[in-house]
Amino acid sequence: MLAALVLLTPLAPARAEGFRLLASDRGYWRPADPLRIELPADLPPAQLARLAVELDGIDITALLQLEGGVLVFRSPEPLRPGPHRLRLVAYREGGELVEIAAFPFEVRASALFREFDLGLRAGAELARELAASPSAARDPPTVASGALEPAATLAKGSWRAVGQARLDFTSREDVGNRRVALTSYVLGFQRGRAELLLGHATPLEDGLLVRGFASRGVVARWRTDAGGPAAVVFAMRSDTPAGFEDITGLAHGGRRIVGGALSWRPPAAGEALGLRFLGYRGRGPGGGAGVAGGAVRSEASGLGLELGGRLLAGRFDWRLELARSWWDADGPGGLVGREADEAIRLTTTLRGSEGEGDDGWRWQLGAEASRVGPLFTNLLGSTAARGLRTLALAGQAERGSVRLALELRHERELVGSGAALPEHRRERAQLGLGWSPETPWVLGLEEAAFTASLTRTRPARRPAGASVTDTRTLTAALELSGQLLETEWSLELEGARITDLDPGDGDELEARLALEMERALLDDRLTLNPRLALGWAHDEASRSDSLEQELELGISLAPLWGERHALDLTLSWVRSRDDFGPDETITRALEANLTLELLEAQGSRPGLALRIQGALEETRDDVTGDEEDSFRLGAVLAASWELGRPRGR
Amino acid sequence: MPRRWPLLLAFAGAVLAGPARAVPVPAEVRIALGETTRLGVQWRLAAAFQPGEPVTSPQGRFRLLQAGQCGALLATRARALNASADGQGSVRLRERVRVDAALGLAAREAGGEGLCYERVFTGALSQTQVTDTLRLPLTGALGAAAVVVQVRLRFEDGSLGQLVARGEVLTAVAEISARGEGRLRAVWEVVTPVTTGGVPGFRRIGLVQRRFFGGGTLRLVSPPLPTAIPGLHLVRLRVLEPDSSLAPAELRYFVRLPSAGAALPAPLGVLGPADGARLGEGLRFRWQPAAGAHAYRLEFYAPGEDPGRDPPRTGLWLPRDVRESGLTPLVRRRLAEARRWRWRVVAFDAAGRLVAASPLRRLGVE
Repeated sequence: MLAALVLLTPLAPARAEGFRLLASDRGYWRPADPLRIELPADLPPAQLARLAVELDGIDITALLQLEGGVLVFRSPEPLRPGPHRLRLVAYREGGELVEIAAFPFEVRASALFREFDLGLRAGAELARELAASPSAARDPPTVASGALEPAATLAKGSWRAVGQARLDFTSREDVGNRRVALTSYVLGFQRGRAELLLGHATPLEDGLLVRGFASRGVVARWRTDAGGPAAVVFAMRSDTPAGFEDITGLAHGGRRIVGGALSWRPPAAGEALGLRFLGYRGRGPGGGAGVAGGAVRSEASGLGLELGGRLLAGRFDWRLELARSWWDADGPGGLVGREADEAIRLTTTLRGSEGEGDDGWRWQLGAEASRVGPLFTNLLGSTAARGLRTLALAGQAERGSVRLALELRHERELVGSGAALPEHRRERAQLGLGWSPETPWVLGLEEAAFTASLTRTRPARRPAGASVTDTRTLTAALELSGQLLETEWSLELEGARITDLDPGDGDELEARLALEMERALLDDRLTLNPRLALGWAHDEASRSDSLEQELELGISLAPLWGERHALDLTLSWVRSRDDFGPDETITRALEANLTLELLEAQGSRPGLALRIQGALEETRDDVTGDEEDSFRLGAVLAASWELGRPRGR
Repeated sequence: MPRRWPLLLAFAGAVLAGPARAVPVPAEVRIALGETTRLGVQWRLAAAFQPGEPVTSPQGRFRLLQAGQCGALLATRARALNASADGQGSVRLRERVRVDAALGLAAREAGGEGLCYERVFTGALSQTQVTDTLRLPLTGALGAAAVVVQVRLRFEDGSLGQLVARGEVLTAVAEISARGEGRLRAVWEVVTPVTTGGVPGFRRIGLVQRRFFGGGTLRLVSPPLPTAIPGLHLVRLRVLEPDSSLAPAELRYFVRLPSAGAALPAPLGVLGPADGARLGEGLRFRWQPAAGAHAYRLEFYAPGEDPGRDPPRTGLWLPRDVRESGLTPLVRRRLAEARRWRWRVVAFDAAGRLVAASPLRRLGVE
């Protein structure tokens, strides 16, 4: 073994000449083929001893064998088909590492295909109700449900095709109540620098103009080598709406959106500058959330420019985003609403470190300045303008086992155009402290995190007689976790005090506590998992209190005899109350499951299990006056099947 | 003459019940100009009616709020509220109200500083009428009441559905877009296979109560989802406060029996270092031998990565007779790229099968 040869020598090889990855006998590498590196004939043994070899980030030096001037690695685990990287490194004096050669190579599944994978994963169950109380009589007596995940990959030469899908199905005995849903699917084809995706894909990375609005459609990408130009065009159907910052105007899902982006990094600028132009146009039925009664159809467009890069030897990142969007909504008689918005945002991050070991510390400073708006809204002939300016500074530092974070944020809004409406500004300071003791501390504490914030929201302009928000909010949260007497525990405490500084309004108080434990007993055959949560709120203005109480005890028994059964019990009790009157909801529930594994899944043979399940539930709602007791008892036959080696989860 | 008796009785009833007191909760909600607001209001009419008397309000009215007074009628909301007075003649009613952005803009065009939402409640027997008003002053997004715009629910890998093996760790993530300022109160709920077949019976697995300041996205991670029982599960985040008419989105996941081919490898005992230890110069990794092991691999993962799905970021191959190892400079250099890692030791047999694996432990890097 090469590791045994490591000796102190004055110099290590510094050049790649003479090192060569030898091709496999069959002309390509299969997953179980050994990797052979030819060494220079004149390499002194002392320098050989200072070599290390890494495969895909894993140090394989200890398993290398020297066979007649060739280093041989026989991977104990078959290599997965696809690209790999073998790296030769030399140790120099002072612990310095020098890369002397790197060999990218490809492992193929067969002579015909670089990759060939076909997999299927399925789970299904058939549930039959044995008994139920009248209140649970709406349940169908027999229900079948399941999920199916087929996946396939095929690759050869410079092309690669992948396909993956997920289907859910539910079939109830009641006629017409069958449901088969294609939850997600993606088909992809890649050839050289071009890629085509059909299905659920994300065409653009998140930014000020767009964020995660896309759902399914067609995406085509083309890119050159690192730093060169790249382009993406897409035609998608939008998913759920985006938030306020995104200014997409895409207030509804189901939009048809066409767009694209072009990015480029000028060669002379290196990492310091990169550009991206992007734009989209979307239209669809509905929309116009602000229009009374909604709109018949709406249309949104956006254009953006992003610049960014890395300076100071990779320690400073910067990004500038400019965006503009338009949104029109049509009602039955024509245009009923219109918005136009513009935004600019600059974000920077500076990183650094000082010292090493326990005395060393790392830090990061970030800054953000943005202006969103003015957003001009015109609905049914009435116009308003509003916007938000933000300035934020954030810092993080770590030293030893302690982490510290601080954030300062200032926001100021713009409302209307000289109208007698109040404007507000908000200042917020947040402090975070984290501690991970080297060895468990009191009560087995392993992690502790504390955060506190002080926020002041006050009027920046206060017209006479106008109602304004003038509050000071103090929040604090403590999260602790550890292990004591072989019991894992976690505790969360949160509290807030909102002081209303405007005369006539009272304070608000809020608190939350959550405690969770897990304890395994009887050689892990019995697991107890109690959970307690309390939430309390008090509003001085309305003189009201609300209280949420939850208590749950999970018990798992598996296995007490044999190896193929499990018993799970869950007891829960939830009570919520506010003091407007006898306004209380209490739910008590018991769930029990006895699972008997009839057939163990092996290879392509499916697994089979029988489960007896029961539930008791009692609910009392004082608001609606409803009281309900119910129970169910059922038998379930569950099957699972796995074939091949499906990719991903 | 007899026809006057009911009126007289109604008057007497009103006097005996004392002065009618009507206070909506909340009494005032600041709404953002140009934004659509959904809010919940509880109408509380104390000692206003005869005990048990049916009380109705056929519609709500939006009026112009000007100089602190509720004035001209702007719109009506044709939704009737009905209830019966309790033993003290009091009535409590809950209502969800949507205030369209166009309505706020219309109020501003008319020179108002906001809106009033008014309801008139009438006792069916006593004909007593009580008017109650909720004031809705207009302001900007920073000073307005909290509004949940959207709840985006996904599993942690971004998917909408999962097919997981029994015992696998699974969590869901909710991204909440909100405006204004206020308290968020929500519950994570799941439906286990016991009830997914019929009418879903949601069971709480976590309570969220947090103060939020709008304009951004609040990211909430669910407690670990139950995966002990094979079958279909549903999970959702139900927002209790601020009041929202958004129907909670649901995710489905199916727990299957683990197959022997992909069965969990045998447990591999680790002797050190302790969970959460810090990486120092002399740190040694020690483990117990695994039956059938041909080679061991010490693996390091970033927090959140799943060894069943993600390849290790770095690690070290070791021969089968090794039970203890330090880290090579190559691995140390890669570990220096982050402060937190999770590590484990795995064993492979001569056929390349994973035969044993230790639990993940945490490692901090100085």
